[in-house]
Amino acid sequence: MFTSPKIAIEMEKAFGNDAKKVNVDIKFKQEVGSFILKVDRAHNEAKRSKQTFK
Amino acid sequence: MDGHRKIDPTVVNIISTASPFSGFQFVEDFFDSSLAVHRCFSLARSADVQTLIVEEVNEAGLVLDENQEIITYVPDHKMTGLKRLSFWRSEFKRKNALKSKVDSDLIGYVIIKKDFSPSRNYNAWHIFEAVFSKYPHKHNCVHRSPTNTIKVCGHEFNINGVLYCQQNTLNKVCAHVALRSLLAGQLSDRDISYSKLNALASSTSAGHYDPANGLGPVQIRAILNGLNIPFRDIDYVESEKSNSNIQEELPFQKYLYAGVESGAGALLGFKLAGPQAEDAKHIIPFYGHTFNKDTWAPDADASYFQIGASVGYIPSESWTSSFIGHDDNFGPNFCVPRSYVKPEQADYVVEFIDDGLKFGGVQAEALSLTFLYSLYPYLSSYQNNPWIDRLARDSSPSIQRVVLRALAVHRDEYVSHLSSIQDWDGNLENPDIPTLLTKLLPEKIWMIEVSLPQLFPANERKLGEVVLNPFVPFDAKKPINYSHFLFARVPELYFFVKEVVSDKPKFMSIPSQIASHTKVLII
Repeated sequence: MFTSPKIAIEMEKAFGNDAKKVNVDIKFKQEVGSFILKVDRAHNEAKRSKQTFK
Repeated sequence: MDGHRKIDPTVVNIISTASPFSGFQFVEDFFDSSLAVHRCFSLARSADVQTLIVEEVNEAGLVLDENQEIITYVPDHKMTGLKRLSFWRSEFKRKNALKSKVDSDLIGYVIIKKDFSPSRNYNAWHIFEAVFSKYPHKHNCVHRSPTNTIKVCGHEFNINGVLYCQQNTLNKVCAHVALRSLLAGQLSDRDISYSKLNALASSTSAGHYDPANGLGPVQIRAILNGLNIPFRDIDYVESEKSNSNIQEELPFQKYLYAGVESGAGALLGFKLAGPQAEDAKHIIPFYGHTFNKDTWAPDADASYFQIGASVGYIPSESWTSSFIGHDDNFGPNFCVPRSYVKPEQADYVVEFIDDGLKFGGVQAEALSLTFLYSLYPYLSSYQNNPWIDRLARDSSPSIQRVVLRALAVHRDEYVSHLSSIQDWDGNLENPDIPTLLTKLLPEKIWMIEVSLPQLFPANERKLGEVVLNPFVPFDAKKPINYSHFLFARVPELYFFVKEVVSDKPKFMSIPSQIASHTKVLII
């Protein structure tokens, strides 16, 4: 599996002292998460479609 | 399955298209004034056609398959004509001149078929398939256009372009031909028969299936699922029952753009307008867009896209003036203005997603915002780089005016791009970084380019990317999953998640040698 931590390990080996810890609080998780689920919900709702295109 | 493109002709006519030849007269005399055939002749004329070759051919390949299929639905069907037309940039009179012609001499081709059925009162020509390259213009964005191979009088030629097909109302209607246009660019063996499409569509029918009755989202989904083509779609009629704002929250243009920008394509189903339209619904394929760097709307806030109450951005599609697609009624390679189809007319949209990917560009852009905007406090305190200052300003909670452009790209495309881009001062990236990324990235990625409103459109440049793993599906219980995030690059910096502790990611940065803006990736 390709993950950011795996990339970080290799980058830290390669760049040693230049690698720095960065404090980040993840924001907007709920709003972005809701939007992502809205897209998936709409996709699932299309299963019930009654339309026809000719 | 490509026998119809390569079968040797039985009769050949080579015709000069110089005056007094009239394409209009030719189409009126031989093809019943078909609008779509007129369009093809007009496209050829605009490319300065000099010679037309008309080959009479027998049924083969997908045409043979179609005729065998039609009989099962329409027993009195007969094919009464089949011709392969090719349009050439140079003037010549004999077949052996083709020996010295190269791919670039070929403007386009049309395979045109005449079907006859007394019981269906049907006796008409239709374009079985055609390919004309969209003319090169710096504003035309057609990504990953497929290459098609045909034979003309036994000589093989390649032409780049998206297949155009027309319906005949016997075994195929608009939805079938729209699907075939896009699937020809998506499937590894390119060609798909209408019999296969109908077999997949009919699996959803409880009773008698007749393709002439049309296809709906249920059948379209069955076809795409049956072929393992990932997609995201919305049936606005259905979704409006639970969310009356769905058109505003998930506008169809976002799906069209997401599909065409990554080269996979998109479908739009809509109600026809006009006094005779009534309940008629049509569906057409889109495969590209035009880009207008002087579009006014983004500067006037009209195209700001709200993900949620307090988070939004400016999508790069804001500078799209038209979507490029085919209309099986009127012909290939049309530009449809992005606002031409009104939201209340748009009933169904499908974003095709690149092979194997678990989510599309609409979701990728949204997800990238979580990471980008979360970096704002760090960026705003970073010293001595005016471009980080500008990115921080436009990422701030009160402004949020970054421009995002999501592209599904192959790892090697991205690594090659990262190796070659130069910032404004001519700095290249440290070559060790792309070398490492070659081993550490999945085969494909979502690359969401990050730019600013005055940097992206006129200059086609960016400040960096957020790179996501597209093979991780969303978990409905926890959609913001740090396993999607691979890294972010901004001027002077890369950011990685080093570890996740108690569901909180710990980030790490390393330096980038690229200190300012660079060109965007063109695929």
